[in-house]
Amino acid sequence: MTRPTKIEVNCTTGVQSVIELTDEEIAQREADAAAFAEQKAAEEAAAEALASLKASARAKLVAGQPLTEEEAATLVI
Amino acid sequence: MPAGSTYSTIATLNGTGSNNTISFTSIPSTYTDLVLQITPWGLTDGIGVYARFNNDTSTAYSSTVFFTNGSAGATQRQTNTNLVLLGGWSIGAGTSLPSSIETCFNNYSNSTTLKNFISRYTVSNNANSIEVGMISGLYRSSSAINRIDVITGAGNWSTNATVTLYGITAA
Amino acid sequence: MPNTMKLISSVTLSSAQASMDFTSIPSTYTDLKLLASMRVTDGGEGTTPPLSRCELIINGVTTGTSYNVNMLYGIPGAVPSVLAAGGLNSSRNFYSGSADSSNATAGVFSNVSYLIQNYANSSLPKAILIDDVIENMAKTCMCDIRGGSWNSTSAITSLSLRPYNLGNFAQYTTAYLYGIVKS
Repeated sequence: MTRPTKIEVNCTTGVQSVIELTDEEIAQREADAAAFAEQKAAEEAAAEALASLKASARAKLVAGQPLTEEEAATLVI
Repeated sequence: MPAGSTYSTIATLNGTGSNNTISFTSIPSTYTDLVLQITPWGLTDGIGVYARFNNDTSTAYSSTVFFTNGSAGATQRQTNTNLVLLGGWSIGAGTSLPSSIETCFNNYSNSTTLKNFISRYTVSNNANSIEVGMISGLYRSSSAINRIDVITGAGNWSTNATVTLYGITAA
Repeated sequence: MPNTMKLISSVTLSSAQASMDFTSIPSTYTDLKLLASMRVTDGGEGTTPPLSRCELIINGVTTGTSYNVNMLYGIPGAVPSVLAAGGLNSSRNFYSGSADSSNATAGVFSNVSYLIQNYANSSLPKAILIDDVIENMAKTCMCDIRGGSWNSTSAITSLSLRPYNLGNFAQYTTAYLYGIVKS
């Protein structure tokens, strides 16, 4: 299997090199990908929770029901 | 290809700790566009960085700001003011976190059209809030711009602050 | 007449690469401007918009409370939005620019501009200002402005751009690093 490579340019000498990633760099990329996926899941959960709160706040407004503090915060800045 | 440099430093000035205005006077009319780069430090919350052109203190300025300070996107509009905002609407530049403003004045030296600019900025403060935004500004004068005063909304420029004016030559 | 804005180095990819690294950046300029046109070979984060987040790693640092970033972005048909979370005092700079993914119309690359003032200063942290556009012709696109900081007082000597999720930059991706000198 072909190793992934990166391109590096030395800005003092101008020399450009295509360098294979080391085992450590490959492992770090995989760990990073897992960390990114976790962060993205957290972001999506937060966005979903916010959308839920807004929907609930809107429905309560229409029905003339009191909003919770959390719901009101989504509508009033 | 142009014979000389197309992106040139006109002047660079630092804050002194005891001045609230940094002035660029007698700006040559020989460039096509101007770029102002500002690194403000330690400005008061909610105050921002402003500009005045040609020492014109009349209410000839207006601006539209599109920004966020982290909670939501928002816009603001200022009209008929005697200063115009370049950056920083709701938070001030922290004493230990950096901020950055870049403002472009295209076609600044003609004497036919009203003068406008676009400014992009990020302001961080010590409460770890970050404001990022862009501003469209208008100076309702057809005069060529030959002076720019860069002014803090309140307080003085820190000694770490720098303001640099560049000229861009089209040919 | 001095050359105030000078090309330091550039990269144009002739094949897919995991990252583009600018090392040994001279300290002789005042500010850095990095202009990038990027596309990745994988599907990135979906189709609305068809992008892959990119990370700007400074001096190889991926730990500590090194990075702050906030962003204001717009997608057609939606209200302008801001970064939801994770941009303050972060060990990673996940939100520093975007590349068109393989879900974008063929041949379309992102357009990203990074400005880092006073990069060579060794006593103050550094502000970063980013303009970013994901164009996609007939499909969803995005434009945004981002700002923040690298919270270290160390002078910046290297910049590395990489897609965030095991992706590779596609052939024809480019990055141009310019130095601006104020005097």
